[in-house]
Amino acid sequence: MTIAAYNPYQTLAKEGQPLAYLYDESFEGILTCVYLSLKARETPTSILGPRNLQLQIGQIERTVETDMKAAMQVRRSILRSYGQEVFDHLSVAAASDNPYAPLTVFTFTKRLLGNCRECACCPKKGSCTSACAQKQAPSVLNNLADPVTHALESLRRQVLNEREKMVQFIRFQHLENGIWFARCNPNAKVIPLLMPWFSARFNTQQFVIFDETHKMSGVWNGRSWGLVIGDVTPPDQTANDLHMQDAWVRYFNSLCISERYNPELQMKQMPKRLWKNITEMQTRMPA
Amino acid sequence: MNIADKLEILGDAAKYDVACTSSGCDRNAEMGKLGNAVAAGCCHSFTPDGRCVSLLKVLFTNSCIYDCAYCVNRVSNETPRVAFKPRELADLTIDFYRRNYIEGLFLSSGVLKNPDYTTELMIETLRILREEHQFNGYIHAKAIPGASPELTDRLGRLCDRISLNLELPSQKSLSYLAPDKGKQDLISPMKQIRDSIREDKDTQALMKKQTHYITKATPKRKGRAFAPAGQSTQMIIGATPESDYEILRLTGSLYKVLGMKRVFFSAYLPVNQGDHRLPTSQKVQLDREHRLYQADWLLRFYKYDVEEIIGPDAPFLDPQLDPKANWALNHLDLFPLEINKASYESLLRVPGIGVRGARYIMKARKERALGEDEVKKLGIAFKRARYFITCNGTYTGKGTPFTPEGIRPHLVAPIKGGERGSRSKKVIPGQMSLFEEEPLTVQAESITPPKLPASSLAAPDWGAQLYWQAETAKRSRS
Repeated sequence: MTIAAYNPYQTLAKEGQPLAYLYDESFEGILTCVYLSLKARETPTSILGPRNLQLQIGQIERTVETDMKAAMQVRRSILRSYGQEVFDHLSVAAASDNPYAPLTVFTFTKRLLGNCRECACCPKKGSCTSACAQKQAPSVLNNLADPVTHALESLRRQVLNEREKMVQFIRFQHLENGIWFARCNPNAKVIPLLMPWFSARFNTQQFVIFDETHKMSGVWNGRSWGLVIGDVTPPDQTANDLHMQDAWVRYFNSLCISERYNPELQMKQMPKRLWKNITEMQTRMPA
Repeated sequence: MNIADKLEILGDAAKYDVACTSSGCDRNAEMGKLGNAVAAGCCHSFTPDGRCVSLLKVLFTNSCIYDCAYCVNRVSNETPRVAFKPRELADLTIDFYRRNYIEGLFLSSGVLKNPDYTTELMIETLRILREEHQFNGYIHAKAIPGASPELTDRLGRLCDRISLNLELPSQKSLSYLAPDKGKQDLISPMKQIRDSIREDKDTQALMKKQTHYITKATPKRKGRAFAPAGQSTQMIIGATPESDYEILRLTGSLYKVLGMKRVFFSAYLPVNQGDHRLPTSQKVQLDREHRLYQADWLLRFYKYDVEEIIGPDAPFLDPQLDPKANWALNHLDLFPLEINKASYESLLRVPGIGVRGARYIMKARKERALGEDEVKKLGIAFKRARYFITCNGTYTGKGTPFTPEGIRPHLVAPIKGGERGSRSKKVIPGQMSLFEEEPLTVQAESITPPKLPASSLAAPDWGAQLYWQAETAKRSRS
């Protein structure tokens, strides 16, 4: 009788039983899922966050505690074999709110680590001194006809489009404590992608951007920016700020050329779901 | 009168200006300065007519000494006249910018007293913004025709983009409808701007060049570049009898000879009533404007030549078909293209394949041969492109005769003008109706051109001059 080697990550699922991973909706969480799945030699059929927790019939669940050490290890091996660009693609796509986003990022990452391009797998075993021929091979991101790569690319594009929408439509208010405050409701976790842009552009003013969908804020204190998780109740805005809002709304209302009236085009460019946080559109919202 | 009232009047007066783009120049943010600029531009809001609000587009003043027939602010109109103070406008711009309402300032003006005085006021506004407020965002300034070259130069060094409006597509029409303006030379300030931009680019390139091994001395104060985002212009379509061919030929020459970044078109709107020189029709040629912009896109991004898009024998663009599809139907001998082998340039010429689609195809076909199923996913309009391509040797448009007449019905697409606005089609074509309904948008053919008096025909035409220059330049190159 042979004794099986001790494996702390032993799979819980029986042969052929569908498995779901429950994670905490962070990118590190997905990377931990990849680590765990490789260690336990199991493949989940869905990866669920707390906001869309719906198991399928017969599926058994496994809660994945985010482990920074494991996530960093996965990150390191992606960076070593595929470079920063591929890692950035993954991190941007993982910010999407699409319920299939975690599984797509997971599948793609796992496949990357499976087709190992590390020196250990190379016949030259790290003995080459000049540029590595394997690393110059066409990027893994190019294979857009492949369903997973294509899904990853469209997720990434959706997140970057949402970031662009926020760059366009975020509106700041000046609060009585001197801080500038903006409230937004994006459909992806874009605050970390927004902060480099706004902290450079408005580096002269301290500001907070609060994402009410994900309860996440980006804070710029004049020197560096950081993320804060949790709800925010801002103080009142200044009297001058109300005047400025009024001037802006009146200016905006004077701009429409009635002969060209085309509200569908407006709604296409500026989706209605964002109107509640856009100063000039708030008055046009149904009460 | 408070600032919000002024803003409302002067914003309303500036709304007919088309160019509201904040594109063409990349400027990184600097610590301690407010703002940055990005080459793609950024729209901050959209009005109910679907046009974007990118810059704070205002007139410095709406009082004007000229009497141009097509303009709301002409001197003979009874409207309240107001003007900003330079500091007032600069402060307002900063206040709006900090709230992320706008991407910068678009400053135009009516002519107050004389062109030089007006330009000086505009310069003072921009100086306060750039020097006192350390504003690093985007500024678009309208040069005033007739201002002295020194002042135009000063204005160009404070803004990112500078523009001068041609207003109408030929000099004859301009001297007829805008007698005060028509006499001035519009082309020479445009040439001055072009030369200043080129000179500035050369100087900057020379300064960057390291010709010796001694550490380079960098000047303590950096001078501003002259209009780094280039110059643009705009013209009104449909107020005068020029054909699409003449308009596009002028546009092509403006890009080639004057190095314009953009040429904007605006469909003529009857803003002033009761002028015998203007068309009386209330119809707005929005579809024509749309087709002209499509043709303009082909000139700028798809490397088409004006003569490929339109010729003198059919001087109006097809209202039913976009110009790219029209070109492809007239050149069916070049199609179908094999998607796995065609060059990037020829992929761009397939109707339904845009810049992004072509790039995706180039990337994806390095990995595997693309069949019909793969191509469908690659971000192209397959239902249009299918008649012009083969995938792995299989023609994808089977069932349709490969002739212009056969393919045309599949590409014909009406321009979507919305369902609620003035452009909405009240009656579906072919549907019976109890009421005689006129279509609200006119087709290009049905315009009755206003007659120009014989005296104005004698004036030299800048369109012809520019076209001649472009042609000679082309010949000397080849």
